[in-house]
Amino acid sequence: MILQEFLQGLADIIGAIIGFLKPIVTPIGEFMVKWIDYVLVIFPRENYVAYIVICVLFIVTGIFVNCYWPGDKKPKYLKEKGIEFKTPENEKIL
Amino acid sequence: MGAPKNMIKGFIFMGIYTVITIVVPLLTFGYIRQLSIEGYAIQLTQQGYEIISFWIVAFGLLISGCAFFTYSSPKQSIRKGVFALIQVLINCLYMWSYKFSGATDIQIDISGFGFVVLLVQDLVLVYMGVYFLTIAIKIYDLVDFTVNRKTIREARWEDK
Repeated sequence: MILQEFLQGLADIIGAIIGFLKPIVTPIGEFMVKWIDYVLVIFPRENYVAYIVICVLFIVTGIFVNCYWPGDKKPKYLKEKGIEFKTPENEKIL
Repeated sequence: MGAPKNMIKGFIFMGIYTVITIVVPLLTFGYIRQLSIEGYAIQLTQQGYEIISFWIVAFGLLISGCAFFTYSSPKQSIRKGVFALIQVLINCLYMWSYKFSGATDIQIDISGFGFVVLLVQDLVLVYMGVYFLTIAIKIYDLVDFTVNRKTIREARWEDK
């Protein structure tokens, strides 16, 4: 019984917040829906092949990029030239 | 954090996103499909279930792949910012695909009594509006990472 009252109270509060935000948020939501509807047309609906390929591509690219640029230390080509950071001026030296 | 640690982090988050976006929704819809309340069978139509599960798996795969790239990137890097933004956009498509596939107006047949239709489209609209703010924050992050690129990089290299 107490739980039911608590849930009812919680639902009322959430309902009030959503009701208050609705006039502001719903038009933005409608705008979002418009562009999403356009974009969704290009997604294939027959099979998973395209999605699997993109997923694998993300993973492979992620591994490749991480191997070459882990981001935790200065790149070798900057170290070798004794340059602190890549700037348009330093790029001429490189 | 070196490359192996970055990748382990990426794989962990990819696993988490796979569970959240594919496994849990599929199990939930599978459960709803054959749910029975107080002896009354509630059934989700076979076609509806197939459409919903297709979009869940399709966008779930994209989100999981994107999550790997995002979470395996160094902190505050531009590539992390770019892929975090792409992930949020795919998340929007994923959310809206629930409506698109009919999951926001689920018809539940109660044998012998008729049917009940759950309309949650308004709720999704409000949610999408809130999600717009997330996109704005991700764009701000990306601009911040790009503008302060030099400072961020130097600080990251100094930590090592």
